[in-house]
Amino acid sequence: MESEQSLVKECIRGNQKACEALYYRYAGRLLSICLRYIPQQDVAEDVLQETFIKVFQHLPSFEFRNKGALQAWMTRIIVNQALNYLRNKDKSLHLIDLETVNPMKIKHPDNSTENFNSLDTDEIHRCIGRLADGYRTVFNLYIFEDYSHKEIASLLEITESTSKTQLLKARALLKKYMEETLNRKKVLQHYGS
Amino acid sequence: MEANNNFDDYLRQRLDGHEILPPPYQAGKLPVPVPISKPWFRNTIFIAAVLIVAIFISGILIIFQNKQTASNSVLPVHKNTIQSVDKEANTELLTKEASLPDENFPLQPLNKPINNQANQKEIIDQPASRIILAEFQRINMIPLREQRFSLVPKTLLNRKTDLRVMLPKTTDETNSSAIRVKTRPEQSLSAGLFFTPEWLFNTTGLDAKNMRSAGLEINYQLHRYSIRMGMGISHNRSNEEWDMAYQSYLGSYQKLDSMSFMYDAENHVLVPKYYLSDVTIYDERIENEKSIVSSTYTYLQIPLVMGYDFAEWKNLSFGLRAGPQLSLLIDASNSEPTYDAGNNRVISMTNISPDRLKTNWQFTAGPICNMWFGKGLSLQLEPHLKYYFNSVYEKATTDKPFAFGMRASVLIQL
Repeated sequence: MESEQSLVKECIRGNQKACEALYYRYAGRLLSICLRYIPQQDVAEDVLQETFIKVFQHLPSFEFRNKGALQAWMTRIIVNQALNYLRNKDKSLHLIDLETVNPMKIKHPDNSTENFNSLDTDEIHRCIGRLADGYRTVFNLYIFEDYSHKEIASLLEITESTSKTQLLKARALLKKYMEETLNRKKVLQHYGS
Repeated sequence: MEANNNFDDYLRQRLDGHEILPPPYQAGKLPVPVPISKPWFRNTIFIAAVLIVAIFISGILIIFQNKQTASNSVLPVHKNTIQSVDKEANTELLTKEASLPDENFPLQPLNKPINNQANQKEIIDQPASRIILAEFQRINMIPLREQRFSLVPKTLLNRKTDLRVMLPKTTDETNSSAIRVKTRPEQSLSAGLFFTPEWLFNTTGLDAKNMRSAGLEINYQLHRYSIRMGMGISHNRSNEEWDMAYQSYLGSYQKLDSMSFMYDAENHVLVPKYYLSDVTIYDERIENEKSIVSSTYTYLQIPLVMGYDFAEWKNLSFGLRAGPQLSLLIDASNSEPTYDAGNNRVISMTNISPDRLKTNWQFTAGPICNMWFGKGLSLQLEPHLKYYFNSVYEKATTDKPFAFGMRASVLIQL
């Protein structure tokens, strides 16, 4: 398997096959990340395409530091692209009504994660996709991109406390959605068997 | 809190490395990669370095050649030997040598027969070294086949060591440089044409890095000092970024505007008549696309450059030139982007590149290599660095630019 570094070099030289190889190597993972932010498959695919256009444009300026640097760089690009899309789509992304979901009404489910093992990854993905744009964005940035609340606040132009609240709600809602999915699955399995 | 952390870690673990393959047709939409050439400045620096090295090597070669010519034409005289040689001995030797029956010795010289006593006297009265020098010069001018009739035999000419001992030193010869012929005048006014390719730094990424200028100039030289004025036109290509805002075409349908009925008396039915119009549907979302358009800027350049030559030879000099230069923007040919919107609806087209300033001051400095040819013709090569006192853009998006250039000019003495 060609190393990341040599693949990048070949891409910079304009080798079409290397570019395709780069695409096939990372497209799946990047699309999965993008779908966490934008659940609509067709839109996520467009964002992925835009991401690769940007990647090829800026590849000469990419500095290869260590293994995994390329993936981290591409992840950052796709996250930014997804955030741009969400910003353009909904100019008031940062003004999500905090009372859309009343935290009091959320029944905090069982904290154990063992039950969720029977859910497959796609199902978890779909559950994340059911979250409102604002919740999902904060949740993804905090959980998967390791952003601090301060960074999220500056990125989305919200306050730190809003970021914290949204994360709390997103987490509670996600658990709820996952439990619902789990229950539905159990029912289907019961009647299926 | 701990439960939350557990849940977060669980999700991270579950979704780590998760992949959702995009449909295969997506790969076909990949942009065709453009081969990336080496950064432009590497090539430029390389070319500049090669030019400078070439100039200095050629300079050194010319100097070396000049030194060789000088050492051949000027006969060094040792002070000690001059004292012991008198005119009679000198004459004796010359006449003695001249009367030798040598095949190289001319029995009938070209214009001064050796057996003519009056001529002999004339020769004797002159400083010997002058005669020899005159002969050297004359021999060089006579075609090779005639050289055998020259006043001084070839054997004698080849015996430089003998001559050194024999010939007394004259006052003119004390300063050996007096014998050298200087092509370059001490004071001169010359005019000519110049051409300067330049490479700009610290401009926006879209601007062309190279600039060409050409024009007329007048150069006044007094000894080692000089002043240069002129007027030139410079062209700079620039790529400007336009922002296209458009709405994507989604489709069209026929809208029923109105309908009327006519009564068909034969069949006793109402016949409807529809009035339709085409309605195009555009995406509500406004998309943006960047378009690059090439523009050309023309500047009038007025330099005032002072100079000093620190090294001079027969037909070559090296020096320094420095001075201010005024640039006035006299023409800007901006072309509108030719954007093929297809069925899309163009909302706006805006030039988002910064405008250029009308007036600009620069300071230019650099070494100069001046080569003098015959008939007052000279060639100047001047690699220089140009610093811009202000940005070339109205809104300074970059630091103050600077340029590296190579001025080449041909001057004729007036």
